[in-house]
Amino acid sequence: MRLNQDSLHKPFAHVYVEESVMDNPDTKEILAHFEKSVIIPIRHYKDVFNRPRQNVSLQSKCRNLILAQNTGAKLFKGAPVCQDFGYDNFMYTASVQGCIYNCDYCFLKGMYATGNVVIFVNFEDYVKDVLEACAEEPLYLCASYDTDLQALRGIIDYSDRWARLAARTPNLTVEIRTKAAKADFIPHERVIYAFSISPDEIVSKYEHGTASLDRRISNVVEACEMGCQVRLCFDPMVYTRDYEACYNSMMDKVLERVDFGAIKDVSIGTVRISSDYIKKFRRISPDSAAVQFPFEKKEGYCVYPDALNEKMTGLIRSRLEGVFDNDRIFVD
Amino acid sequence: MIYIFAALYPELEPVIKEFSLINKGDSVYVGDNIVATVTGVGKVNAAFSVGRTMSVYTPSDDDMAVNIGIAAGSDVGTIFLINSIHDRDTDKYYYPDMLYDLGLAEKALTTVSSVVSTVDDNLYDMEASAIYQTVSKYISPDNMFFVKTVSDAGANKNTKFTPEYVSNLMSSQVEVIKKLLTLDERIYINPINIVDVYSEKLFCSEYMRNELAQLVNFARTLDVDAEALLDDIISNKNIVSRKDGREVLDAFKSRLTS
Ligand code: SF4
Repeated sequence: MRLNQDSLHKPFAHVYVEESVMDNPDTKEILAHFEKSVIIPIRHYKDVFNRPRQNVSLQSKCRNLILAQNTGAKLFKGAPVCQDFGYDNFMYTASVQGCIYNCDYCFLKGMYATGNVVIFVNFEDYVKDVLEACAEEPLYLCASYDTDLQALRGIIDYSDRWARLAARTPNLTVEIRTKAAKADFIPHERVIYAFSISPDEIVSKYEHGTASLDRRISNVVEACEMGCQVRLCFDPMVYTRDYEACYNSMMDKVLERVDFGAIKDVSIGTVRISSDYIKKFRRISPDSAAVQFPFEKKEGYCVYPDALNEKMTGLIRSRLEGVFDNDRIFVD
Repeated sequence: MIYIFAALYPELEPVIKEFSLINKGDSVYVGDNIVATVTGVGKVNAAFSVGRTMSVYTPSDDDMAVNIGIAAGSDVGTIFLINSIHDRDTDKYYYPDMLYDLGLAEKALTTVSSVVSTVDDNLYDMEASAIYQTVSKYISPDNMFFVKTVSDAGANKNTKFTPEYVSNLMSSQVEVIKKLLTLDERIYINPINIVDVYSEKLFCSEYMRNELAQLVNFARTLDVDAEALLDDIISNKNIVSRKDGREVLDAFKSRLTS
């Protein structure tokens, strides 16, 4: 492990741009935010994104940005392990791959060989595919799946674009999941803002760079006041030795400030990591209890033992008893 | 450890002198934390020499590789860190990861098979793409650095390539190597291997030993004193078999996770 990291660049000191999208209006808009960055023209984003042996944990400290066009698939069926909230046609899309945050348990670490972020600037192609997919039947679309789109609002307004698309497309419901500090929402019945809520102890240890609990609760309150559809995600809960105290004090704050009459639904779940990726996670985060936990393997995933899982999710359920309708609580 | 590669002896000479490297034969010079190789000119020579050095010294992912040298370009005398390498013959591109700020201007470089006669905004050399390809089998892209000083604006420009001219140009690259050496300070964790001690005490099979190692590491991430906890569990037990050891392991796991 390298001790001296004082010489690391600031995040996004380099922006790799596919030559084919150099003149794209979104490319120009994004690059306007990075006037001091070095722009490196590239032929294909995978030449940078997929390089072998990348140091993901170091890249996460000073990640670079890639602007590209996605000529491949843009829409994917939701994984069985994902909570579908009762929707049959449940898909996700990744107009951005990679996240400016760095959660130790994030599945992106397993999926991708890099800590860098790629923004696909051919957004209109994504819109086309989504409109096709919801032409015949209602579609529930996770738009902020491989990233936190709200966190990128200062660079590109994709979360707003997805929200506006849902607002004008009767068959489309969009979910935008976030841990971001930035608060700006578009209230509409088919736009769901899903806020991940974690105790500050978990935020500071395992969800690097994300907003504090207070900030997240303020965003929830603001979104509710604006009339947005708001989902609270107590997911993933992470085990610590004092998890009961941490999560109880978190719930004290949530229950004090959030008007549950304005909440659409709640999801609860604990950490789960694909068994295929667990070794990689442990190599990337050797000091993180979130991934070093002695998990049990179940249906291809590393999960907490049933008893612990039930105790942890039960803690949140019991705190919501009498406050929130049990039928609208989804437990993984 | 830093592995340095240069095509010509005069390109390496300032480094050899500054760090008092010792000639180990086969154009390899070794010193404290440095293995430097003169590769010879061109991609074939470069790939062969880099491969030979790497197979002899077996670097780890955390080690660094630096290709230093001269290149053709328009800013004669300027030193650049390369952020993109294009192999003109194969039309492939390679990208060293640009994570460290070494305070150098950056440029793209094209590796060619014969001397260029004129230049554009790119730099031109004859080895970098082969060095990247070979080194990337051993070392991660964040630990690869390509540092080039512009020596001439192409063969037509009548630059006199005396060894002194090249060595003089290269002397500023010594500072880059010094900076990289400061990055190469590591945390060496000296594990007091309690896994060895307790796997013997608990009659562990290979499988149990791995489980014990994982639990000890998990305890460390929770700031729990694994040794004290294991001793506490063992204190009122008489462990004479693997079955007893299994019970201790289960108790250890349960105390850490509930
Ligand atoms: S905010 Fe979400 S996408 Fe981003 S690192 Fe955390 S878990 Fe991953």
